[in-house]
Amino acid sequence: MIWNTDEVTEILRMIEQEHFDIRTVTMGISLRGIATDSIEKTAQRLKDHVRRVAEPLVPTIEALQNELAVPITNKRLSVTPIALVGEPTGASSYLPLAQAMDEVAAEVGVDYIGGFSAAVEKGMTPGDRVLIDSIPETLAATSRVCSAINVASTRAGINIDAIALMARQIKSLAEKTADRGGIGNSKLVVFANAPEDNPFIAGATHGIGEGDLVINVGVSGPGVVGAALKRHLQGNPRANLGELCEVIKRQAFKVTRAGELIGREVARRLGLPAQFGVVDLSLAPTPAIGDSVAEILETIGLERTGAPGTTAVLAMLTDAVKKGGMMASSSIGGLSGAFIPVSEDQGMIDAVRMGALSLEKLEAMTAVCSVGLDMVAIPGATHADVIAAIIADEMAIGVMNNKTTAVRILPVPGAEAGDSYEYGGLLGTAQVMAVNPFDGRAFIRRGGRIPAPLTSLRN
Amino acid sequence: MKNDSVDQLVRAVTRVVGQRLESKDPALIELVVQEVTQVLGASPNLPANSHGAEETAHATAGVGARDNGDGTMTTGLGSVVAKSDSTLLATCLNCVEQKDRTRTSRAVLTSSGQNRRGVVAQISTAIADAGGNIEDMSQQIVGDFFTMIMVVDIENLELPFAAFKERLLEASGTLGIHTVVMHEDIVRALQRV
Repeated sequence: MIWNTDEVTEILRMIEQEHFDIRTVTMGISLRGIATDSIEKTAQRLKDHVRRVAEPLVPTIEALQNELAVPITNKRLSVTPIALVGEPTGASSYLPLAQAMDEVAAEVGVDYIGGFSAAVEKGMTPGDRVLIDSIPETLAATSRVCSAINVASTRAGINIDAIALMARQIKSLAEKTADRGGIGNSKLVVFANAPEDNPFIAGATHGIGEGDLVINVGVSGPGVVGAALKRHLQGNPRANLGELCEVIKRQAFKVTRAGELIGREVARRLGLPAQFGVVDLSLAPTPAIGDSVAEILETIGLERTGAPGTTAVLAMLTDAVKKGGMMASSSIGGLSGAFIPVSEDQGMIDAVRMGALSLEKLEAMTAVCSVGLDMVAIPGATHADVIAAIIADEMAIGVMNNKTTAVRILPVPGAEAGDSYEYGGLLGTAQVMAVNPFDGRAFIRRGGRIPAPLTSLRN
Repeated sequence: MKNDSVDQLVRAVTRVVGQRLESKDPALIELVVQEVTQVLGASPNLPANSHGAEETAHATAGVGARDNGDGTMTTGLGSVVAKSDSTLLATCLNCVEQKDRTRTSRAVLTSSGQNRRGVVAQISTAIADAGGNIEDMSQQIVGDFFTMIMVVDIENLELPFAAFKERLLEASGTLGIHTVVMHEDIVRALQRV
């Protein structure tokens, strides 16, 4: 045979039994050419431009998916930070721009469009302020628009004023979407060291250093990695950690190769100016059984995620995924690590429900994986300044370790610790986590900016 | 123009430009020029407006070039080319198109299910009717269970890949056979470095 039977059946098994998919193909679109001094005109130009460049995206992806037989789960867009696009209009709200994004995203058939965003780690321009003020009404009134606000960086430090403001917006957005468990906050992320080429929602934003039209790919693969580990352990129950790293690396390599093929092929078929950008090789779980990052950790030897040893195993997993992916592609970018969204991963949901995983342990885990406190539900009555303090802790991990961290936190109105809320679909089931009852609000109220750390002085 | 120099430039463009070059889009042309420049490792000597095909051909030929003052230039590759030869760019573009066609043109088909009379015949007929050619095949029957892997040349398909795939799924589906058809590219990407 030209192809070994095992080689072919392995791919079939990955696709049909192990949830192998490409999680997202995200088209990054520059909006730098559309700004005007009128919010209505800018909104119209936004729609016209995005429609023109993104119209062929979904049909192209669907054709490729059919040819390669690999599911491509999500098709998404990201745009230039809207704070930059909206500022010349002098408008007091950017809701019309978000509505234009929402409408054109629906027209071209994508489920989310990221980029209602701003970078305020050092300070705010009037446009940044208007954008942040617009967030609650905007994300409550639209269904596809996502927002990412960078409030900290290793180079600039941590903008506590911006964090405090964002925490109030999070509370306000939770109230505005209280009838759906505060779901609005599933579309809002607060970042430290936000990457410019992240294909994953809700953090996707087309950074200012990016080209005109870029195709970024987010792979998936917890199911594939988990199944390979289980198979290896069946044959070698006493396998040591070094051997398991090799198994993870091999699977990450394959998954990344598929991502690279698809990204390059989508860009090629769309033609210029579309260009392939990066593969984000994050292991992205889904609520499906067997497609869980937590389950991988447990396969390696934890009774439950959150048990002592969890941070070490997660560090090993994240590193092995990066090493395997790095060999497969020269275009690695985005977040690239392991995602541990609490509501979207069945193993994480179970761990919280059983009391194995606390918010504090989760925070420690985020020091060694790619994202941060992701899809974490907390009691609706949590004070805004307490939320700000939680965000500040997470930002500190990112800033001091020169890595990306983020917070996507959902205060669930009316809910207490131990309650659960079913968001459905890929957002899964949120288990409301307890927040430490001791008070750190006075720290937040001092305001100002935590200066950049010593590690920022690299020149 | 010497064919050797064209070939060298064409190879350079083909190696670095992974995009479909269907039109003479100015941005596209600029990209070709930039990429050739990069490959030749020389400073570009581009006209201010390189948006016309002929001018760009001139620029492409002139990348890292020395003007010989006789209507020819010596390129960074050391070959002599005509300054105004606008066929150079067209040749480059065609060559990149050729590269597109160097994508493997095979499909990998797997079928499994209850063994039935005529399974292989039905699938093979559907392949042949669509213009495909079976290049390799492996089949196993364990008890009453049938599995088959085929590698099919799809270079001369008479219908789009999606329609071809649909026909194969229909042909096997009527016999209760589960079939997956995938382009060989995905197998190659996952199983070969």
